[in-house]
Amino acid sequence: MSRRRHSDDSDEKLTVYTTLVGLLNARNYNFGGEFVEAMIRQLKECLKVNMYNQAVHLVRFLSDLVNCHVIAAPSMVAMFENFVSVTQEEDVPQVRCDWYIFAFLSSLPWVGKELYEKKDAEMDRLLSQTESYLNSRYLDCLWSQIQKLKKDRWQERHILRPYLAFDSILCEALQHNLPPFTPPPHTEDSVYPMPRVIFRMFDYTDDPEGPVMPGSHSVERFVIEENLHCIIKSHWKERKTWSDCLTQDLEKPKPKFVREVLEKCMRLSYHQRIIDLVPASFSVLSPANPVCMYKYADESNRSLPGYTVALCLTIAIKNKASNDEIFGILKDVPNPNQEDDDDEGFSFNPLKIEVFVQTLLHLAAKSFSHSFSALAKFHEVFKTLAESDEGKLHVLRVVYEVWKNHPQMIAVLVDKMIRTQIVDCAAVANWIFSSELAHDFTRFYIWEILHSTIRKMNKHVLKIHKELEDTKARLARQHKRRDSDDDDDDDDRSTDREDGPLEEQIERLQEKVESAQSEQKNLFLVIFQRFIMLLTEHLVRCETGGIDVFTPWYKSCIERLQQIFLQHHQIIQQYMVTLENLLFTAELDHHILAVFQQFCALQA
Amino acid sequence: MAAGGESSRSGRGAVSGLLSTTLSGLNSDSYCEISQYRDQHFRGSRQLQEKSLKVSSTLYVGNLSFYTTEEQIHELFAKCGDVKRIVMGLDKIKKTPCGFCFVEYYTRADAENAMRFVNGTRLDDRIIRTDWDAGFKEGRQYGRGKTGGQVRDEYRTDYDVGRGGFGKIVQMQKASHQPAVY
Repeated sequence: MSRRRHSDDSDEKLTVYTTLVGLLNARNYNFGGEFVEAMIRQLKECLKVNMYNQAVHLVRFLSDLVNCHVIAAPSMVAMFENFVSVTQEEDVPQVRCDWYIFAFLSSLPWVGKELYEKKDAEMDRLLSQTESYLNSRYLDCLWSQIQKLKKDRWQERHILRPYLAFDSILCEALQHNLPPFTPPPHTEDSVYPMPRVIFRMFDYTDDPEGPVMPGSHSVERFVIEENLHCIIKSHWKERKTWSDCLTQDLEKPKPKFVREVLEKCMRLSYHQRIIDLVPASFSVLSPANPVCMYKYADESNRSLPGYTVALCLTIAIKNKASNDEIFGILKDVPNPNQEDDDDEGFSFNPLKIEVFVQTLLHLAAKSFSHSFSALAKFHEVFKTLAESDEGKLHVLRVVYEVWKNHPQMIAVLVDKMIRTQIVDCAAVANWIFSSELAHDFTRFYIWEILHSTIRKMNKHVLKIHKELEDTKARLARQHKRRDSDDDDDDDDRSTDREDGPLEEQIERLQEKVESAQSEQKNLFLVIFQRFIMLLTEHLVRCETGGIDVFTPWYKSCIERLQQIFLQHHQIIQQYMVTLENLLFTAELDHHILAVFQQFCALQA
Repeated sequence: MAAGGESSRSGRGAVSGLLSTTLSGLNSDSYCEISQYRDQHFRGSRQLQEKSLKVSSTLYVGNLSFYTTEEQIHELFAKCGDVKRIVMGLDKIKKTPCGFCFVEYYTRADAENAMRFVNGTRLDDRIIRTDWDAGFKEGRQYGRGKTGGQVRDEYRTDYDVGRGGFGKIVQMQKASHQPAVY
């Protein structure tokens, strides 16, 4: 049965298929037995080859087969007992235990009720063993959900249960016992999944029944957001449920969630559509009209320094001026940091940057393509103005000033500027943590940009590394060809001559790899350092002022820090010693240190 | 599939075959196959065109509304990976969008995800269609219909408010109040 081809990564159709199996089992007991055996074999294979996502789906499928009278409840409880006893294993990675507990807990929404009805004493024991394991784990959230579910006597309202309609047939069926299932032992090659980064806008008390949201960069998220769009559209009428988010602090999860969803909806359509859709009372949550903000726009601004140059530039660019002509016009712009001015006037001059970038972006505001063309055409000017680190930071600041109403435009411009090396990744990281962006720090688009920046850095390192490996392989092939030749006349000089270019290339690439890796490490260090500074400042302020540390802003930020660790854990693993000795030292506030320590525990 | 459908499988031997078949089914699928369409203006042999289609990371996107913007297209297609560039399809005469575009990714894998997950879904309330493209070349951004837009908008007879109303030929008929001359 090609179950996998039909099911998507969510479990929404799972109960349809289990119902079908249930009905077939009621007709033909042997079929049911063979099917269960086949599922168990599939589960074992998945665990052997580290396919944990598939394994979780299989466990859920099996547990729902209890609801369909295919599998006897006591044998399912026995399997879960074997899962939970993994926590008693010695010398195994914590992530192994975490996974087995997760597999057990995450099946309970489907089968908790049935198992409790048949084997309540055993289930109580399992849950209390789980509780004592779970004292400080990322699984906290799921544990709390299950506890609440238990308190509600396992009443679960989200999962579709078609088998209920066939109860009269299914209750007559003979059930099977699961064969005893021992979790395959831990081996050197076993690799367990990291806890998935689930950035929760809500905590479990807001939504105890919801399925877990997929990662924000994934395609699955798009499917969910489409659904959310429909839900919001159809639930606007239920103002009583949502209207409380109007009276709350806008940083709280509920109103923030609404604002971010509306912004995403706008990106997929257009501003006026959202304004028309959203009731007047909710307009405070509507996204801004994504228009360009040009500071030299009209005559009333003529007293601004650089205004005349801006006009000059506008005319020149419209008349297809070259980079040189632009340099010529910019030469006349005074430098507010007068003492740094050298003869050519090309040191960091914030006013030059401001006038040029504002004017160009304004002229190219029509579309992404127009802006990209502008960046390409005047690449030379950009590179020169942004040569220094302060220059890069200032370019980013001006881009933000011009396009602060259009986060999507900011994101694509930053992406393009990194790719064309107008700015570098560290500059973007520093800009994100700068005071100018403090107001937007908890908005989604900021994190889109940061994670996209980190990904670009990672891909760059991989790319150069691959080039190096490919060139090494070419050299090896060259040697092999030479060795297999029957030529007796080859002397050292001709060998060197042949190998020379490739060896030089390898040396250059080796340097390039090292340089890229160093840049990558620096990027992460900058990010962690800025996080520590930001969070420490908040913690100190709260402690001296005697106010509660756990503001919505703080919760959001500390979890964003966690997200960095979890989302890029493979790369960060390389830096553990540096992080421990340089940044996450014992003097750090325990709130921040705890995040690092939890991450270390996952590596153990 | 063998003639007469798959023969029934029983016994233990078939199980790991089943696992590996279903799992390998996730790696290549019919969503990513090239279609029957071949660009008549392509410079090169059919073979070369087919070869290019099979390695391309550029997609043709059709059935867009004339009012759909590059920004909307970017937002949607960026869900599948980093977009390298978008080229809007334009009316050859008016130089305004005429309902198609090219989306180029940095990698083929990302383009394949778009073929799997975006093709056949809605943008601006319209079901859009994606297909492999051999690669954008200057000039290919223009409609090839006689009146400047896409060929399909010349001949269609329905009223489509997102694509300029009636098809061009029907519009001309209505304007001149004369039946079409065949």
